[in-house]
Amino acid sequence: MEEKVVILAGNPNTGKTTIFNALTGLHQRTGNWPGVTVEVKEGFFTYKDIRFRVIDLPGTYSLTSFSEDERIARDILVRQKADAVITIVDSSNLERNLYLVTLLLELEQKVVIDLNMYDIAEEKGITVDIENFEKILPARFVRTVGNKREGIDELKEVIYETVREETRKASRINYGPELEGIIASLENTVKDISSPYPPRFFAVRLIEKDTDFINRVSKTAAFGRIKEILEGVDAHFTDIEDCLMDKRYGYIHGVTKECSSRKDLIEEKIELTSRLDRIFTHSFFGGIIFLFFIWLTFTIVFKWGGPFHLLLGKLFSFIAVGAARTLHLLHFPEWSVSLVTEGIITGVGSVLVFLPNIFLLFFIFSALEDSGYMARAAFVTDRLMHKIGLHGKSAIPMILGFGCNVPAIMATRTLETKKDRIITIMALPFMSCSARLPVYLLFTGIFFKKQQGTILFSLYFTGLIIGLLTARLFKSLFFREETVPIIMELPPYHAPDIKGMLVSAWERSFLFLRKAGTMIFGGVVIVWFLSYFPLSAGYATENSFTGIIGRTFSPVLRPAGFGFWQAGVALLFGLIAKELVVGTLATVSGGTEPLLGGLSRLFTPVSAYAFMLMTLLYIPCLATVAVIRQEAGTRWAVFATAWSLFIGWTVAVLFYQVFRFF
Amino acid sequence: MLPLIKADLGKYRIVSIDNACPGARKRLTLLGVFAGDEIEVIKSAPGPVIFKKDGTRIGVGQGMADDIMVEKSVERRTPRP
Repeated sequence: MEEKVVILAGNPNTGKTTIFNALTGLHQRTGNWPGVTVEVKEGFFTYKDIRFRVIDLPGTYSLTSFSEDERIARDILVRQKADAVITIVDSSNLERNLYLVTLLLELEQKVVIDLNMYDIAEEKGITVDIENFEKILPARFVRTVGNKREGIDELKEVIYETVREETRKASRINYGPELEGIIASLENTVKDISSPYPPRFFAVRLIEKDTDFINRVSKTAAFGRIKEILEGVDAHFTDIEDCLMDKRYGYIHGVTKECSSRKDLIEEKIELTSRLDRIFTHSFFGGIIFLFFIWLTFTIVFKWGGPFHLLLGKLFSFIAVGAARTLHLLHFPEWSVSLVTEGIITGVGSVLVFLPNIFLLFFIFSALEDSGYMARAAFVTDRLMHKIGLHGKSAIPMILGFGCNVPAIMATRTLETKKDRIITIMALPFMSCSARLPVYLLFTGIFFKKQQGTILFSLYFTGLIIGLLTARLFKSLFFREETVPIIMELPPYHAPDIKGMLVSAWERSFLFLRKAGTMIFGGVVIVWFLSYFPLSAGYATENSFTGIIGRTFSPVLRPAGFGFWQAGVALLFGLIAKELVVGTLATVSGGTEPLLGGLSRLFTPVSAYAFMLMTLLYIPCLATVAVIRQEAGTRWAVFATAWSLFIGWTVAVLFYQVFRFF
Repeated sequence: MLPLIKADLGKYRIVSIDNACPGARKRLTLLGVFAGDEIEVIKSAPGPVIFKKDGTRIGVGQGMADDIMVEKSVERRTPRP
């Protein structure tokens, strides 16, 4: 069967996902887009004799390099060579939504405009003359009500007709004689540069000084000429970007006025959303409600996740014992039994046990997002975050970081600028994730029985403060530009859809599983290898390779009060997953009983606290480093590792050196 | 004329957004907010200001609300210039 590619584009909050689901049903998957770091959903449907592959772009208002999402959307649009682009439009707000269409037309795409939520627009007294629209704009129009599945068949039919069209008459916005002249000469200059973009689109982006496009031409022979033309533009226009946007808006304004009408409405009732907003974003109660939600999230993730966590832990030790028995019965060599049980099952298992917590975290995360509360939370925290140099929206990933740094780093994708993302990502590893808790519990249980709660709180708080200070420092070191003040569209509140939440939580957990799983698996095998050899030394002893490595670290750790090889090995194993710090200490001690005795002999309360500080702050776990690399690039991943190692060591040493005299 | 931060609940007309920094102005434009637009403030300062334009809710932080100049709307709708 013939396959055609259609792309779904549109502003946020236009019901794009609903349309995507209505079109594709359950035939979806989260694709990993090569080269970009965003989950892009793909789905399929068959209509008549064509199979359609549907790609759901992130919701955007524009296609400039303003935010990561827009850049990604644009990238996919040009690379995918879609047979049709469907723009989902909020029928109540045509002008703003059609702005994106002007850019899609400039990209020479075959556009279908889906006037979604048409019922609400009708209630508001808005009528749209589709026939007239189609005469003016080279696009097909369809009316839909996504959540009631109205108009979906018509939409499919129009998509079908559109992909079968050979060509479509081009349309262009007239930017006025002066600008058109400039565009023409730029088009002429760039037409020989190989690029997937239409020359006119390329030329207009150059005039807007879109950095991506300037970079594309900066090494070509034509750059001198281009620079000359652009300097001419600067001399003529004070703010050319504003000017181009105005032209596009003007065009859309004119078309919309001609093709739709809006009756003056009877006074609207004060809606529930407005009432809720007055409470949730209240300058005083807003903060309290926000704190309540955080508390609730933690309670659910830890309290409800706890039993499942324990159950999975038991399951894995059961599997390990069973596997060991079976392998022995089948006369597998001793080393392979050790690799499978002590290495793979224990190592990978120690991460997998956190799946229930992570699933719950994502479940609540999607509930907060889906209901519309998340956007409000960004406003509540904005003032505090702004002082630190972060964006209000950064607060959400930072809270999630207390659960697990990996999904929290992925959650920074909602931030608008690369700068905000990077600063938040650099601060995130200091949020004390749940994997560090076993270490705290072990040590406080031995050394701080009476003040356990206070000590725990002090560690979480230290992590938070160091994270915020890191953000402040990096902001002033690397990103001088001002943070753009928070301006956000606020979707109406609605009850979250349980099925959607489950699906979303599962999808994100699965991504975590796959990525963390492959990483952990590889890491575990290497560490097992180092612990098992040389054979004469015995598994994970002082003279095994890990023991030797541990000993080489000891001199460096001595100033922090834990200069013995066990601590060195534990911290090394802890790189894979921080809960392995406990596991390693137990293994090298030879069981739980000797562990408790051994630790109280090796550590003093002061060095124990220093060790906990080190565990909290030093290098984020491998999975976190991997996800930083994926989201921010290798350079930042290396930097985050070096920085946290430096901070962890410094803080532990300072603490030990000061408090050992008390 | 008064800054949005001083506005009570009710209907206003945006007079100017020229005080805002270019990045913020661009963001407002992309959200379809222009000088001359009729808006309805549904949550006032202190804290963020939330207003409605053409049925869409837009929230702005306090600092931003200080840069948007508005005037109380007259009862009849005035067409956009």
